[in-house]
Amino acid sequence: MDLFSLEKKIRQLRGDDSGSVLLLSGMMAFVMAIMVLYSLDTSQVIYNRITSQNAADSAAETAALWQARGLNVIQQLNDFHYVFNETLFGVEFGELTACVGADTAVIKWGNDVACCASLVGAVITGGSCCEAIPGDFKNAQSLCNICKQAIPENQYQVSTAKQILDTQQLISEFWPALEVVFASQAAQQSGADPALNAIPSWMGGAVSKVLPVSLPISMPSLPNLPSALTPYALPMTSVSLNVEQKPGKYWPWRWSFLGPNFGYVDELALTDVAAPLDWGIGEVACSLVFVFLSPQGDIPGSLGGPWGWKDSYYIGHPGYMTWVAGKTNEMELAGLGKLAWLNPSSSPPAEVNYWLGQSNVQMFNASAAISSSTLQIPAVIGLASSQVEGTGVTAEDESLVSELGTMIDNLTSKDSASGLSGIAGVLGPLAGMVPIDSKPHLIGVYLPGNTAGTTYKIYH
Amino acid sequence: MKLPVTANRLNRRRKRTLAGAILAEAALGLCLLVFVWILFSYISYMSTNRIRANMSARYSAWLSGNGVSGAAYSSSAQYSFMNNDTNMVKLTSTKNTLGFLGVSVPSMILPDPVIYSNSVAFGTNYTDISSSSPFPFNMLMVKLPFISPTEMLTNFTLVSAHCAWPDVSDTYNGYLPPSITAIAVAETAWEAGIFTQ
Repeated sequence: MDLFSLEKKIRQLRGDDSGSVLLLSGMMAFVMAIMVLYSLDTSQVIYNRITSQNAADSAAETAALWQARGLNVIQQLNDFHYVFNETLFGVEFGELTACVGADTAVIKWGNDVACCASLVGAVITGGSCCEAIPGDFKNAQSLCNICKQAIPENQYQVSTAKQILDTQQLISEFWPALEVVFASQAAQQSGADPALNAIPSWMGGAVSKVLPVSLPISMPSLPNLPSALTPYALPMTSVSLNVEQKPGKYWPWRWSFLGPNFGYVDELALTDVAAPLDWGIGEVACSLVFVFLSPQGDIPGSLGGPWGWKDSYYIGHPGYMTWVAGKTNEMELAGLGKLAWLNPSSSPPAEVNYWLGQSNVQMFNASAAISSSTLQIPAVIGLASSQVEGTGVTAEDESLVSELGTMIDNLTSKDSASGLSGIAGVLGPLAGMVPIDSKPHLIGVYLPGNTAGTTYKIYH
Repeated sequence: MKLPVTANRLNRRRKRTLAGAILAEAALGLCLLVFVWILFSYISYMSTNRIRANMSARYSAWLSGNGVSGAAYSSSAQYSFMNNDTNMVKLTSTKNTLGFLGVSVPSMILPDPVIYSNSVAFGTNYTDISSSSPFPFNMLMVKLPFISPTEMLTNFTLVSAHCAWPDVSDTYNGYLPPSITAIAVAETAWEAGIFTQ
């Protein structure tokens, strides 16, 4: 082709607009394809966010479920403890009053009070009072043999109470591990990534958005962590059952079906023997025998009292828990991050040099694709709070204890309005153990980015 | 001198050729745009329904954990999906037993360590495409020349999500778990000195 022909050809091409439509269409299609891919990535972020929230919710609910179960077990042991005391009290009361009756019949109670008191004391402490008493010797001795059974029964009561309390202590210490393990499994089955990967990944991303630096946030390296122990959700608050051993204030024979005040002994009555008239008939009768008892209670020491009167129980109620689960960052779905011209690490990109400098540089200074990608779908986390909710078994008035966080209305609580305790719900030894109605509930969800304290209620 | 006549004919022929080329280019460009637009619409549609499936999985799992029957939670799809799309929703619920340190917990130790893992799938299987599938899946019935049907399409016609929720019906309200009883017995034995003698 000579020079004339080439010039002619160039002139023809200058006026030729064929192919321009296809070029424009291709460019638009390319832009739209990019939009497609980014919409795909955006949907993936939303999907991961929902997955994280689902996992956190499931973990929080699971933890609350097991917390409720642990508290119910402890509460039932409290109930058993209480009913056991009540039952043994009935037996002991009968035996001791029979002995008192025997003493009274033999020694003519009204004529020699001082002698009677000393003899009763001798009976209770295991002495052979009956043999020293003149009169109807035979009848009194048979009754006193019954009376003597109260002593080993009381010892059995002491050892049983200790076993119950030891079991409750073991549960209160071990049960939170169940909460953590099962909550983690719930998060895993809900699609969460290992928390020790997701949370640092999210923190690194969040910090890089705020600060112009990239902080190397990483969790302690646990390379050999067995898969069974890999946490998929982590608690941000205490998972303790938050129960502790506290002394009871009420006597085991407070049976409300005999009257609103029957058996009610307040602190004044316990310390002021001059007010026995306020006591119910049961206390008056019992006081005749129990004042002579050994000071050793079911729980020796300051927490206990004689004969289970002031036994201690595990009481308390947990606060709310907050759990976190998340999805770690992941590669951009379409692999766009592998393109050099979209990768911010190729700084300055060759194409920038080209357009800014208009120098004769090649479009790419490397291959179009690189091995690693910094264009990633960011990590997300979900936070969820949960709390055990329910009505205490020992509530006298359920409306007083139906608020959140009062799952256990403990045996020692008092209603300030009536001055009565909450144990009237237990109607005696024959009523058996009354179950409490505790259930796990999600109380709110804290979303990242919201003001602290802003809660979003979940209504199921 | 027939040369000018010949030149005119050539010019007219060249203009007709250019007009056809532009028409063909426009048609090709339009096809390209329409293809991308369809792709965009379909991906948006399936992405949205994938997110809806995730929300639905959470809701159905919660229902299962709270003792709602399968029929009831199957109808829950209407809350997450468009009404016309609910017939393309499939819910499955699997009852799993939670484990402790990788070992399944026997119910004798801790009753009801159960968790429901529910999966919600939206779309249609490849095998169902040929029968009755609503829009836009019925478009896949179009037979393209030289392209044989492939089951790989299933990956583009079905999205799913899953969520797990514990069975919250049993909170050990009315009984002590056997393991707790065993602990109490062991405690009694310990007090009696069996382990120390």
